[in-house]
Amino acid sequence: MPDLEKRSDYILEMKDISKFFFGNRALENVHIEIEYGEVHALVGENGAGKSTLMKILSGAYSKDSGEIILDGAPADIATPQDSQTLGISIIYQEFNLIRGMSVSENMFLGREPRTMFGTIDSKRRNEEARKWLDRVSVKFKPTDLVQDLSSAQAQFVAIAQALSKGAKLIIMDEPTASLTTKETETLFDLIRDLKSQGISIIFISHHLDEIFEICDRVTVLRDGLYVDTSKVSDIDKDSLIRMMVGRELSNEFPPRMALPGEPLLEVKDMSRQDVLSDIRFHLRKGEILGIYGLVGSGRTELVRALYGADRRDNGDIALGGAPVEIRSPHDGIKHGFGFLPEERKLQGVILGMSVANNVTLAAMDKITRYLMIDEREELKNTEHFVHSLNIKTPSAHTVVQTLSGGNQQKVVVAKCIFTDAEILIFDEPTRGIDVGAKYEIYVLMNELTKSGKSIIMISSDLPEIIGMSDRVLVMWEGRITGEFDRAKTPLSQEAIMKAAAGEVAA
Amino acid sequence: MNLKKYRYYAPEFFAFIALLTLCLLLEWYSLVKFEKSFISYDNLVINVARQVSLNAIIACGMAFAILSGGIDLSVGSIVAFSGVITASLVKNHPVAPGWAGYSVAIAAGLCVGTACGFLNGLIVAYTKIPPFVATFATMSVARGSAYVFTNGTPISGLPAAFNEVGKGYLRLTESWRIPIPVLLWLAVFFACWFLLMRTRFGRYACAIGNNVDTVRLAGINVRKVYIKIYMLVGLCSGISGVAQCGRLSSGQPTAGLNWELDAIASVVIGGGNIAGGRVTIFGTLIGALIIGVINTGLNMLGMLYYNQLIVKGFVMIIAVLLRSGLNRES
Amino acid sequence: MANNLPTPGADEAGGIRGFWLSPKIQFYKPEIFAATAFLALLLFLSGYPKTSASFLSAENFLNVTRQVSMNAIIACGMTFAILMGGIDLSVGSVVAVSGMIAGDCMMRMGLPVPVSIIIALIGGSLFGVFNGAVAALTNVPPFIATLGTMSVGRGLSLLFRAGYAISDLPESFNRIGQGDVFGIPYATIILVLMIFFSWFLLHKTVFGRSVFALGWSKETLRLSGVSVKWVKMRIFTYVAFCSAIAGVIMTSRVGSAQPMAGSGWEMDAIAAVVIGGGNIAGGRATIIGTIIGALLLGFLGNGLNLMGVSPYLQIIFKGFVILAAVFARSGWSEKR
Repeated sequence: MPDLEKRSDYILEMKDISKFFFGNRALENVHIEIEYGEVHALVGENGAGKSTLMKILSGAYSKDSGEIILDGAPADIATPQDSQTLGISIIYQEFNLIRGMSVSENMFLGREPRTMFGTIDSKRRNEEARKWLDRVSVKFKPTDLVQDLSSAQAQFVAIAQALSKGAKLIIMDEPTASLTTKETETLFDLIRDLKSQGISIIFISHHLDEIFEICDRVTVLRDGLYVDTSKVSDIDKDSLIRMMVGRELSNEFPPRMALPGEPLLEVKDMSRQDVLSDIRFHLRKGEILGIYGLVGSGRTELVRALYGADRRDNGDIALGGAPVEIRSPHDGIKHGFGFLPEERKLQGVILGMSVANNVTLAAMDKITRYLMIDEREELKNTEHFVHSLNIKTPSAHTVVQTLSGGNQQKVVVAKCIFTDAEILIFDEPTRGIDVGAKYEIYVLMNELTKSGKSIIMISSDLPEIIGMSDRVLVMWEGRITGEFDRAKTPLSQEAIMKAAAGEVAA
Repeated sequence: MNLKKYRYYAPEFFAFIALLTLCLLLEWYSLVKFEKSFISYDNLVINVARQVSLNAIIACGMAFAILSGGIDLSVGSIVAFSGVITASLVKNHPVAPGWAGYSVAIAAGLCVGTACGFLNGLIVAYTKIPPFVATFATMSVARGSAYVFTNGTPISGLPAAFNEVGKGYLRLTESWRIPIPVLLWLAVFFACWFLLMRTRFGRYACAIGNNVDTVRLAGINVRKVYIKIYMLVGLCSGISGVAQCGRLSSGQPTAGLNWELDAIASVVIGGGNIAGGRVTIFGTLIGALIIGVINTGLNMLGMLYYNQLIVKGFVMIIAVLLRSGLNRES
Repeated sequence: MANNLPTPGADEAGGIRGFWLSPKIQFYKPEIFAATAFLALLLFLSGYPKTSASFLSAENFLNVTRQVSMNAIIACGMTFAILMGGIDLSVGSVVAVSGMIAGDCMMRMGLPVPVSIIIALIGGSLFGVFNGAVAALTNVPPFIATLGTMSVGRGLSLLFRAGYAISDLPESFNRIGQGDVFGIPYATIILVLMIFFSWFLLHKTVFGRSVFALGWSKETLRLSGVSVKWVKMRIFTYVAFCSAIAGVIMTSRVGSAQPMAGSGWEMDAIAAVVIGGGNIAGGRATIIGTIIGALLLGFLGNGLNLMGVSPYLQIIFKGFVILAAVFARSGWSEKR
């Protein structure tokens, strides 16, 4: 019998964890303690060491030094299997499920129930899966294919899978990144439910509001070092941000002093079957036009159609009163559009190319002399952008892959500006970027509009929309359900949310 | 009815329709021109199936390699290598007289095939060398070994009894007979179908092709799965090599040249995704049959070999085009 | 592979591993590997008593470059296809077709040699146009599209003379593959020109830059306003153009147009690219590397011949060289 008196208060203690990659510090003497049945937030900027710490816990990385104590006993975690047997489950943003397989196949991947002949017992697997799916109270069937589920549903599958493995500690890495507000609420209900069952949760998120809503305690990391752990009820958002960035940030958003000028872009009757209908709006010079809407509301489709990246059935686009024809991204660029796509790493940059090559990618004609790329000219232009946009890179020849998310994003911005774009379309410009870098992007947006450029910004982050936009369009099911002008009335969170839920604003 | 579930099989359905259409067209032509049915047991089994059987056996293994996101280019060379080993053991170094000796020779051929596959698997599992390059290299190694082993000259004049493996028939009645290679194909087909649909190994192969990281994180030993996959491909090539040896009555170091391409074509025409993650054994069977029907049909039309090559090339592109469709991006 | 994040070339991109090297040198690491191996081979062959005397002659060197020229020229084109993440299996068939076209033009139609060569180059390139069109306009993967044209091309070249070769080609034509100027074979000169042209195309032009970008992310390139279809068209056309040149050289070298010429050459071209640091998944390949790869294979064969190693053993050797070359730069897998 284990001595109950001696049992630790914590389900997990990680002590003095250090990890170096080729002499570079990823973590140094970090510690974290998780109580039984607690939701513990782990926050920090990108590169602060959150993922490294969690990867050590899940057995994907090995630690250089330090100690992991699970349930009061030292635990030796060398492989993902070890951590699973010890009751730790990690739910990643994207990599947890195989889309072409059914829900139950995914849940029991690697430990399929077998018949007496050694073959897979699909019936029992489905029954088992049903049992665990019931526990997270979802409606879909164990035989449904994962690719037919929404990302929220897929997340529930991952959680059910974790429970079925007997997880006592579940790590959720940015669980709400692709969820709508309503889905987030459902997830939080489940988290509360799990908590009441004594299951501990480590919650990693960039959304500080969520941390204050759902978490009990929070541990902050910065640059691979431990900063502090405190009760969520004892701190406020500003002090949390201060701990994360290590310096004073007076506000989340820089002050916006906009003087929008003449109408520049006019879009009429744009539609695409089942995706967009009857879109009409305009954009003024020097304006930031925010587009808000839930996932699937058609906001990305709208700007991609505008830029020429996606097909559209109808729609007249006029620039400065003159109609223009945009059928491909090439047309879009020709008419002065610049596009910063949502999926930075897949669509924004070429990870394997240098900063210079990326910056000039969309306007290589400008650096071509006699059919040949003038590399000196390319370098000169790139260095100008590195300087003016404050891109933190060792040199213009550095491969973009090695830069941080915020700096990669700035490379994309530079790429757009280098095409002489007058209208910049930013689709989720600050997604996956840490707080400090976000602020820099905001400042950059202000400067760009000051210099006469116009910006269309899509964001799922309502405070960001309200903080940065001069005017806000709200979309729901492929149509515009609201338009709010800051110059007329202050932007209100409630009104925008209502429009986003389909209530047409008066 | 749950249509969602069947949607998964759409590419196979396409391939099946294509096969059916081809057969019906040829049936019509054959009836009009020769007053003879194309869709007859004799034609379909004795001609079409027998002709493609050996390649189709390899395609069954190839399906696993492609499913897991890899490829195996060495199959044709393995056919040659395992073939010459078997031939040599049958003819030059018989271990025992008669079928006892043949079985040892056949077993040796299969072992050689599996061993080559094991080598492929080791490289794919333990190094970062991509499967294309790894099997590309073993393709050279196995082909060279077959040449070195035979010194470049075929081992011919194998006993007729042994040649039954590739040429013989299982006679059920006077008129009903099944060629041995077709029987082998059916056996391999069912075994592979079972492996893919009913065992964890098949599930893992599919999962790896979709997303290897997920599989790793699910605590599965990915290396073991890779090794098993390539051993299976090697075994299938070995079976094919032994049968080919019987069919040619000799062990030829040039046997199986370019067979890898036909095997890949079968998988892809049958609806498999060359990038991995989506391949079915049933589709592979249909793919192989389509190739066989085209070959036989063109022969029937009296087309010369080189005209057949041209038509075959276009049919391959069109078959894949039908299901993957046009690129609609601007 | 299907849904994984595409990280072509990630194994070789360096990352933290080589941060002390300048990015430029870091980028050429696989080429430096291959070049070192190549130099080691040359040193060995010139030092080894059995080969030293016959190896170290200008004649031998020029002969090897003449032999290598065809594969190296095709490999230059193949570099583009592999860099974009595709592959071209039809090169061997294009070699045969262009040779047959040249032979047919000269012998049956009686056209002058230069005109015949131009027609042959255009005819060969048309295969590339077709490959490119399929790759650009449909979702058929290049592997399958070029596998199809491989079959079509072989069939066509057999069709010309019902499977027979066209021999007794004019002397002036045969000089391309057999003759030399100031002791330097014409084939070698064409090779050097093609290397320079391909290098220029890949590393100095907008087109080359787009090919590289295409190997990493099609969507990024598309959103950057570059016509991906047009890039694909040009890639495959260039590969076929290179193969057609190799076909002409091959035909003039043997003095007759053979319908089965060039079969299996696609494999040699791929081997050259891969040995020289090309990543089969796309996103990484250089002309310099490809040439080193082709020369390495050529001189290896030459050396083994001089040493009296049987051609059969040489096939095995080639396999191990490919394995060793790729392993040396990619190393062990961490995927447990």
